[in-house]
Amino acid sequence: MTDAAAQNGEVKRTGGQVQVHFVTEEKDFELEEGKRVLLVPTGMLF
Amino acid sequence: MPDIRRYNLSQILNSQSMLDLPSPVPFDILINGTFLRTTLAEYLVSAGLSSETTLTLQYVRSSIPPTFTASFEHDDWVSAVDVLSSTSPAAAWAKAPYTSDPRILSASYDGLLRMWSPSGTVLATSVPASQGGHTAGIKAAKFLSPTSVVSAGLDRTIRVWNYTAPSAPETQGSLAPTMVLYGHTLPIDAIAVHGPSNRILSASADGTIGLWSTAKSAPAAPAELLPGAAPSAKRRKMNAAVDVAARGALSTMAAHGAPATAVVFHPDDATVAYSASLDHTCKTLDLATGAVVDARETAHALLSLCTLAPGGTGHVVAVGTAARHVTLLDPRVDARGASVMTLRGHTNKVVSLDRDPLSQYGLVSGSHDGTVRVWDVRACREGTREEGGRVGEAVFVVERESGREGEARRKVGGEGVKVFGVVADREVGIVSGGEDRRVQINAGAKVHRL
Repeated sequence: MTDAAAQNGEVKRTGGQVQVHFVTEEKDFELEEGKRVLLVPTGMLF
Repeated sequence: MPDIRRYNLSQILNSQSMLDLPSPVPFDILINGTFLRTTLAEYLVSAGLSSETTLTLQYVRSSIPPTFTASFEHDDWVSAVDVLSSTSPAAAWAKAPYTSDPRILSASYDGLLRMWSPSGTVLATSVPASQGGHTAGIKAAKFLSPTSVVSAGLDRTIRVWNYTAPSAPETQGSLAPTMVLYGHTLPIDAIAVHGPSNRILSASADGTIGLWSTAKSAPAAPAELLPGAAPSAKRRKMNAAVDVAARGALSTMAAHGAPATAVVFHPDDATVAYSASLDHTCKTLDLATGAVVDARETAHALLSLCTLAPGGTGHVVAVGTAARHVTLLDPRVDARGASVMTLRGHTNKVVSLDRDPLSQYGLVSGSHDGTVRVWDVRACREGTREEGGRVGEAVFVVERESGREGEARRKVGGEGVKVFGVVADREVGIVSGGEDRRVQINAGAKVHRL
């Protein structure tokens, strides 16, 4: 489901995907910096 | 490809390659400050965005559904409740940390206050009218400190009580009156307390807001309102025989043209208060001068009031209405743009409000529809043409357990199970009281939505 390249900060979109940037104010659940941006499927064809 | 929803994003965050938590934690997702309730694709379409957009998704721990944990039966309707715990306001105001077990205070139409343990043991009951207690039903009660309680009600008085805990298991503690405050000419519907200054606010059906002090140096009580002043008042005569200090108001503010129903201190400045009334207005009061410094006119009679600070910057005033909804007002903006959001879902009057101590975005409401609703102001949508503005919807609905025993009764707008008072405490949970003559406790259970 997650895109390995996106997890390294190198995001390359394909149809039906959207780039998301995860943020949080909860210190206990902060993601490592390299994992905050990734591509997720939307089920849409643009 | 699947449509991505909150649940899927929460799963992604919990995966081994992401947060890799020892046990799953459900997350809610916020986009532009509002909870994602649709698929990502639906969101992109509704927001007019293309897939070229980068969406910033804020993830927050999901709220836990409050589940029933206990209820305590009374002889009459329960009008108000309050909680003393290590995290409650009265404990925060105390000089020493409060480390004892939580205590639950209930006020009843039978004219008595009761102090409960979380397991449902009555630790103390207030004295009856003949020994200085209320001479009619009580409508409001609050902890001023771990050993001091304030109450007010239909007998037009405010009473300050000293609570002494039981000295040994299986024995009773005491709730003894230390002061009676006179000044209102009609019943008192609501009170607010501020521990550091020992000040009390009251909202009365006489349309005034009273400011009081528990200090012995407080002004003398008006002679015409003291027990015995009305020769026919038999119960007042009974009360006169008890030696309890009587005092009057520091000031009485004629703030409303109809019964005042609710009052709270400003969350950051105890020299300012907000009041609500059946006259449709929410007013800001300068307690130093007694002046009304701001008035917000709404379309409906107002019945309850609390403040919350979503986002931690400034605060908004939430007012519960006779029109079955809660309106959020921003006192910082001019009156025309004051309504921030309307919380809809109750099917009868909203008579009690409290902020959710677990979330700066949350509040709880009690209604005559027989439910307590938990709200998060980030759970909202654009209103329909009839609704207008932003509309919030309840995150959780807590029903009366007693209502489950009589489904037929519950169908008529909460008849038989009306909620009269609710308070939310970080340690104890959501405590409510009502027409079913019970205090009910609901607490967040260890339930994961994943």
